[in-house]
Amino acid sequence: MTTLQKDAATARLAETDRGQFSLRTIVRGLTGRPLPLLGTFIVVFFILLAVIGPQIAPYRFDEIIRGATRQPPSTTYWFGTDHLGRDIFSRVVWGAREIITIPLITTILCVTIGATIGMFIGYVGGWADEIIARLLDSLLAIPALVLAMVMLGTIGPSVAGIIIVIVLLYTPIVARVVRSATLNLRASGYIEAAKLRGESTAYILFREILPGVLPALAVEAALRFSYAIFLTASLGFLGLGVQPPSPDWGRMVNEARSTFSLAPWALWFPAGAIGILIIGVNLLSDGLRRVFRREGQLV
Amino acid sequence: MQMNAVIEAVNLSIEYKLGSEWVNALRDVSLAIHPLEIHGLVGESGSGKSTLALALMRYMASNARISGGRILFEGEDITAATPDAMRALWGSKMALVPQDPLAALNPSYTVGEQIAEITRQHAGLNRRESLARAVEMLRRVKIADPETVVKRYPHQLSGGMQQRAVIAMALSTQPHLLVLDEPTTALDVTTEAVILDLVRELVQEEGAAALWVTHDLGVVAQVCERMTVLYGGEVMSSGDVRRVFTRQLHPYTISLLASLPRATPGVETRLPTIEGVAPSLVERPPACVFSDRCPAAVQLCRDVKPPLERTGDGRLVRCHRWHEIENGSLRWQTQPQEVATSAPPHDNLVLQGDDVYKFFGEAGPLDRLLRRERKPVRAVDGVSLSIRERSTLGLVGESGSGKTTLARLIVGLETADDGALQLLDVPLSRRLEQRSIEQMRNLQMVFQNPNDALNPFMTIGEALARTIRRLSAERLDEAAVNARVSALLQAVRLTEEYAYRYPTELSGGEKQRIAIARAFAANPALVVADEPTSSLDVSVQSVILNLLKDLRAQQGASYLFISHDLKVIAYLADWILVMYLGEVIEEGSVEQVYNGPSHPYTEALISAIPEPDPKASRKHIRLEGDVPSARNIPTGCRFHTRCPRKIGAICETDAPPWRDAGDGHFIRCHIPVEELRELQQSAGELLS
Repeated sequence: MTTLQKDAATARLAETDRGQFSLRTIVRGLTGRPLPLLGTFIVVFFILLAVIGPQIAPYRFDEIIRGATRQPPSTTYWFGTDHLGRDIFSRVVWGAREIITIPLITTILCVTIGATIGMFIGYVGGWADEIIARLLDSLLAIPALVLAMVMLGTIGPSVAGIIIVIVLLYTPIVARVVRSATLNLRASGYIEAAKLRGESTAYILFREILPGVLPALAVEAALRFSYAIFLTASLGFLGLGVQPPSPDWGRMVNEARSTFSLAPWALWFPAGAIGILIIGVNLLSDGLRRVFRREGQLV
Repeated sequence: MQMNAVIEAVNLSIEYKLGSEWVNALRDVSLAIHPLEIHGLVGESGSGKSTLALALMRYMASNARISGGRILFEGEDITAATPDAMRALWGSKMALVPQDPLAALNPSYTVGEQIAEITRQHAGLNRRESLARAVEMLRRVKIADPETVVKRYPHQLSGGMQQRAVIAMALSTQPHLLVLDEPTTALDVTTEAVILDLVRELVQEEGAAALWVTHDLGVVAQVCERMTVLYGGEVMSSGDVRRVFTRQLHPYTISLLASLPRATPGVETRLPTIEGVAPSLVERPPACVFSDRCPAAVQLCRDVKPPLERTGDGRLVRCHRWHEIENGSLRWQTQPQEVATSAPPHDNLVLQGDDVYKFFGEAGPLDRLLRRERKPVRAVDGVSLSIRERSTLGLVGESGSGKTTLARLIVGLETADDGALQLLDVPLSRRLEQRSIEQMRNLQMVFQNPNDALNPFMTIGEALARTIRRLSAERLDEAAVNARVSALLQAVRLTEEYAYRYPTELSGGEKQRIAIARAFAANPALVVADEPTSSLDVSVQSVILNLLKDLRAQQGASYLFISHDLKVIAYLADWILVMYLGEVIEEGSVEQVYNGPSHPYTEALISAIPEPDPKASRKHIRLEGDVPSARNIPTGCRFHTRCPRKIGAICETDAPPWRDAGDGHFIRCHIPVEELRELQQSAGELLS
């Protein structure tokens, strides 16, 4: 019933204010509904924690408090202490920095590289597209954790290694999303008009196409960010993450596992932090998707 | 013919919920359709015509409600009928033929299965009976070989066949009411003509009542008995089609008819236009909804809503001044205005193309390796053309004729496989990358769809300025560029303030004006316009056509103008090329092509145009079948599979020669020119 949808759609169009989506419409869209608001709140909270965490933590992450091993949560040790007598609250707060920065750097890299590749192959098409798109597909076929374990096992775990692995894993996904968004725009009149005035490929990609794929890219970036957190934590859990003694939520979960019956709180808090952060990022990305869909920028 | 109405709306009002408010979409609409009657519902986009058509079937969007009035189906009030009661009516007593047949058919079932399902559901037939009924229905909508077509999937049928299948489906339960929502808008004229005949015949046979929603006054004149003109959610006028067309009483109907393009041989004219755009739901003027665009509006019209009044001959009109229009004391310009002829076309050629070819989907290296046979789509198959300075070449043809591909080859958006192009006597590379910036400046294009012609993230000013900077011959400073932007906006009759707006804030017509301004940014020699008005409302079309004419005169540019609409071509062009399956089959001046003798295909195209005059006596030529696939081009004359004037085996075996009809008028046909002239004259006058 296309006509009916059209009528209803025109009617709805009149409702939203016309014009471009701006930072204001995005902020309003994210804060106007309870779930995206919650997501935004969570993400902002953890970012703040990453920035000012070391200032508010009562102890250093590697500080061993004598005579205070496996203390349950109390007013002194909010989240309790672990088997070595380290304050879990402080470790969780310190650990926020790594669990935010590593995924953030990888997301920025994935988005930049992936968007450039995706726009390029989507716009140019032909042989370049055939070959590069197949290559990306074959990268996608490799199970994420297996590749990560093999690579980090060979080169040894390091921050740079983790970043490289995640970028390698997630760039093809971003590229594929951007490629399909580009394909939708490629035949648009304004792209063809740009060709007819002899614009360079770079101009067309970054000035004409990029703004159009930005909504899809923003949603995908938020999603990649949440997956990157997940993967970073998983690698930490497997012992392939940031090496001790720096506090890594994933590794904290792993270490607490063996003493779960004696000190379950040592597992609860880092695991809960991972869960809440990922849920927050996902709620935020859902909110973004909703904003762009309503603005008609995303199909 | 005083029978009970099949469907009747009494003072129906419908509202849409926008945000937290209810906005009126239809106000006080009354109409009744009797058996055997086709009622035309005419309106521009936003007039509420689709809302009304579907509301009559009680089919409404989730954010819509009936806020007043009643709907009666066969005398029974269905205004508040339950969804279950409506489901029993839908498909059995009420049927809908939507605009897009492909979207209405389920791609994963065969056509026969889908038609059979309806009779199984509503008429209680068993599987075998219902399939037999499907075959019978397909035969009734004149699909050749219905036994095979029932087994086909929707995508295997052409657009015209799909629409016929949907009509067959709608009629399979002998509904009493048939609602057709722009059923021919997406089809070619030749197919449209066949569907018009078919529906008229079927409605008579079935004794059904039909509502035909359209924006095309020609279609209404040809197919309907009664009509209702809707504007801004209100009935402007309604009544018997013959009476409405012979003496229009409402300024909107008068202006709409006056703005239709038509051929004015020999003189340069401008069409009368309707100012402004149709109002959106929230911006409707409070008193007379048409008052802000009406050429006859007075203060009263802006203060008091006019009532719907009954005239002496039983029509309904909503206008304060219809008495003055009726007695002739109020009139305004409704004929195309003659304007001083601009400089006549030069003999110098702007563009010349010789033997241009473009095939798609040719066998690639992989296919050759695997020895796979692949027949290419011969989109443009050896076309030569030349465009003189300050002239307009019109390119006509049905969809699939290759006209758009030809245009794209010329501007360089596609690369021709073979052929020589010359722009202003200088060879023009087939590849866009090898063309100079001067050649790009001289060769610009206006696209079909105004909605994606402008980057939604750039203001109008930025878009125009960028084009000016890129294409100008000399380096311009900021002030010069801004001055040029203002001048361009002025040239397309928009205020300077538009430079700061984004495309989403513009209507379709305004966007197309900006697209035209962009094409003219740096004084092009040739502008290629690919159906620039086909997605616009009728009242906006004339404004754009006039604008194109004015710009040609002011800037001394030439056009290659592509359209499926011969009337638009006739209004704007000096010279016409008619294309069929990748080949030019006729070329000549507008008068030559229109007055004949013409190619049998052109003759059929002209005769298929629905004239906005119910009394027009016209030749009745209908083309059988569909355009063959460009992968499998018929041998001999490409048109022989559908040609109503086929003379025999020679048409199937030999390619027809170019026949000279004098003064540069050429026809590619086996029938000699003189014979064609006699045949066509005896068939009736072409253009009266």
